[in-house]
Amino acid sequence: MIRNVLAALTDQPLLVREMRTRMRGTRAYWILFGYLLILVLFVLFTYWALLLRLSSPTTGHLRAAHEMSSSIFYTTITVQFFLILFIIPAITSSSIAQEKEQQSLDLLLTTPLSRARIVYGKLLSSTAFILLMIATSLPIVSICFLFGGVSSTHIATYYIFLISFSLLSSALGLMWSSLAKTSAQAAIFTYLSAVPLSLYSFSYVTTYSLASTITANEGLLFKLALEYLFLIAIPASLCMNAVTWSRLHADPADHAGWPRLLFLLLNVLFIISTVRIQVHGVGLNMAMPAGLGLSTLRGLPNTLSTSLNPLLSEFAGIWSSYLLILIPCCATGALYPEDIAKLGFGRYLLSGWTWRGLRRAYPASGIGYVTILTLVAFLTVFLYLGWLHGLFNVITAVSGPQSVLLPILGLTFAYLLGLSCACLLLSLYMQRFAILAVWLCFGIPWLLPFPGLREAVLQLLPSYLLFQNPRNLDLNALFNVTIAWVLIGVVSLTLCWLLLRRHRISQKPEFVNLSEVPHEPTS
Amino acid sequence: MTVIVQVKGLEKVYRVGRQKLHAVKGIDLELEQGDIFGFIGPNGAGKTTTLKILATLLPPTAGTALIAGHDVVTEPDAVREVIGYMPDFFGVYDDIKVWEYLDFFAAAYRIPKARRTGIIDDVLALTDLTDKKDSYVESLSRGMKQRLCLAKTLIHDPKVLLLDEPASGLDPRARIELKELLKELQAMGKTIIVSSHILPEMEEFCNKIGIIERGEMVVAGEVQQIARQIRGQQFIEITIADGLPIAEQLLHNMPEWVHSVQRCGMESANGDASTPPPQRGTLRIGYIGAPEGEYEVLTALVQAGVKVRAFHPVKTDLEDVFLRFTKGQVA
Repeated sequence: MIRNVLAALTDQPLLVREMRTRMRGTRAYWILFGYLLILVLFVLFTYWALLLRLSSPTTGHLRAAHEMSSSIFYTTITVQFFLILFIIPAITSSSIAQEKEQQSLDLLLTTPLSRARIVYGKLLSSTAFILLMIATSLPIVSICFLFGGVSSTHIATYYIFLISFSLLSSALGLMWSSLAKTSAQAAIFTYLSAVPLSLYSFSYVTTYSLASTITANEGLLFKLALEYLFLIAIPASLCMNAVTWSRLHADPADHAGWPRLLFLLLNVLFIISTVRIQVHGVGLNMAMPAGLGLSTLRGLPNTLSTSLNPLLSEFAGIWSSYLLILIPCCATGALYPEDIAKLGFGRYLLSGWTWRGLRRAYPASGIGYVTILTLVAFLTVFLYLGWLHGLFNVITAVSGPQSVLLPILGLTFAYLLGLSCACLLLSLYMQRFAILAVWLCFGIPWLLPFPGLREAVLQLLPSYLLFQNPRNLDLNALFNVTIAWVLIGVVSLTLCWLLLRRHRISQKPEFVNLSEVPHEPTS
Repeated sequence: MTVIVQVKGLEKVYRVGRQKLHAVKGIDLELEQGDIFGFIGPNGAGKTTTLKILATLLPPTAGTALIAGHDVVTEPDAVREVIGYMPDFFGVYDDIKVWEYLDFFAAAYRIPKARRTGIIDDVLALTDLTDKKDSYVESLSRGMKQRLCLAKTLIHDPKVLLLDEPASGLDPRARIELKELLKELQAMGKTIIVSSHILPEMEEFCNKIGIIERGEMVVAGEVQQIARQIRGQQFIEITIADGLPIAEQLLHNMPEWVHSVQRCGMESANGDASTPPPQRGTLRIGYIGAPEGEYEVLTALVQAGVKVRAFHPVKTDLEDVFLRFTKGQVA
């Protein structure tokens, strides 16, 4: 048994092949050289800039040295983070898509190598290279030891974090690589979707590192790294790998059950980590002297009446980034006209909720699944925190204290219905790219040029409401947004029904006359 | 002999945008061990789709396919162990040496490390690539790459070989080499399914053929059987130096032997009185009598004063079978 497991771990033909080819020639070395050069330059600039500043006699020498070392450390870490963010998609997004382009994927897929081993071979080979890159940067970071002020715990923590992040983004690149047709497409999608992911990761790190700096608690920092690794990086990359795995099968839609189940796991872990961030954040807020809290970081007034605001806006940001990543992944699925023809639209939607429907990747099962996922997340995080902090009692000038629990729940349901139906509508036409489309729909409103328009569109996102001071929450606005989402849901469901009906009728004839199908003339 | 490939009512429907494309419409096929099956059809007829389904790369829309008793849909892993698939277009990896390429596939097929070197040498020798062992894959010529792919296909000693257009894009020499190689594999007792749209290649080593057009198997069976089926209409070419119209008239009057008369290599008479009908030319007749009857026809012609320069039966080959059974339509 143990020998079998060992053999499975060590015998990775794909890894052997990829490592043989990756380090051949000069390309890999040029990438390493460029990466280290940029790092070294940043460290040098930081050093010079600090030298200029520290020439003033007011600061003590030891303190100055400590300050310098931590500046260099944070510069290196940040630069490294963004360099890795840029390099990983370039490496991983081509790994399967390129095999598709070169037409070598079929050769690989007819070998008895299991799909899971193909995915892990690919993942290991790209993370191995990233690990090499991270390891080569160690000498640069160790400069900090010259000045003191940065402990080895710090460094170990950040390296764990970097490795976790590279694992996560490798999995993301690999997923897009299996979804996209060409490696260029895969690279674009990876870069686009790496942005919300890296923002979340980065805010995670900064929150904790701030907390540990202020409370001078290094243990907290180390916890951060492990928590990120086990609660975010590993489960999320497992989910993405499951998607990749399903895409490598002859019939990907028939293997949708596992990715969806893993998304449930990720969901649960996400909730845990979010709540933990909140708890630490709350502790931080209370313990800190005025003017040093998270609210200062955000440039918000730190008075008692608004002290809940930054906390909630943090939560809202995380919650919406979570929705952004998860919902489309579940709600989209390939559409099978044969299935609709067999079952009829109504039963098609209903049967999607069963395990079989889940496995067969009916879009409807995705909707059901998303609804459950989001409800779980919402109920635990939002209601827990809201209740804890008295969010649900709004004092209005006219009628005194009033509960907003019911309106908020109503809004959530309307939101779920609307978004899921919109996803279904998108999935009819764009299938897997609906994921990206929905992500963009979430991102674009923030970039709209006209403030009025931007506000109007942003108000549609329920998380936006949380940015408002809960004491002045406008019940009318809440009601309007609820109605808007119900309308979006009803309209997209009707559109779906109409489109599918037309689809079904046009598919009625048994066989399309092949001579009518456009084809290339043969000589 | 045991049945090794069994295909029943195989169908595949592609969705192209909002249209359906019925690529394969119910193919039935049964092959025994050691059979060499030539899968012939115009481009786009459904050959590649069928082979991909057999190679577990595509799920069939309907029907079943069993290879060595294993279903390609429900037991893909078992099927992959016994087949060797060579696609019509394939890529090789960059920056990899020939032996490393083969070593990778050997490892993927779970061949123990100790045995790999020997097996790689064997398949390299079989495909005549021994002296290229340490070359980079991308430096090989097209024909060599094709043979390398075949070497990769043979590395786990598969029972069934699925070769999709193995000869496409090869120069005549490489083509002959490939043919020799396939004959050698035939001698080794492999079951081979080889697809092609070029017929003469297949004729020499296939013992069974199937002609597919627009996703349907138009005719399938043993080569001899099919040849016999169309033997009823053998063609004879008669080159005439003088007396073409007389010959034509004469041949038309022999319906018990001659089925059809056709002029080859010139325009048929258009009935214009100003130009005298040509006296010389070649006629192609569809002959339906017994082989001995050919003399009778020749004698009749000579006795009628027709100067016959050449008289020879045209060999019935797959080309004729193909032309007879297909209508030049593609999916």
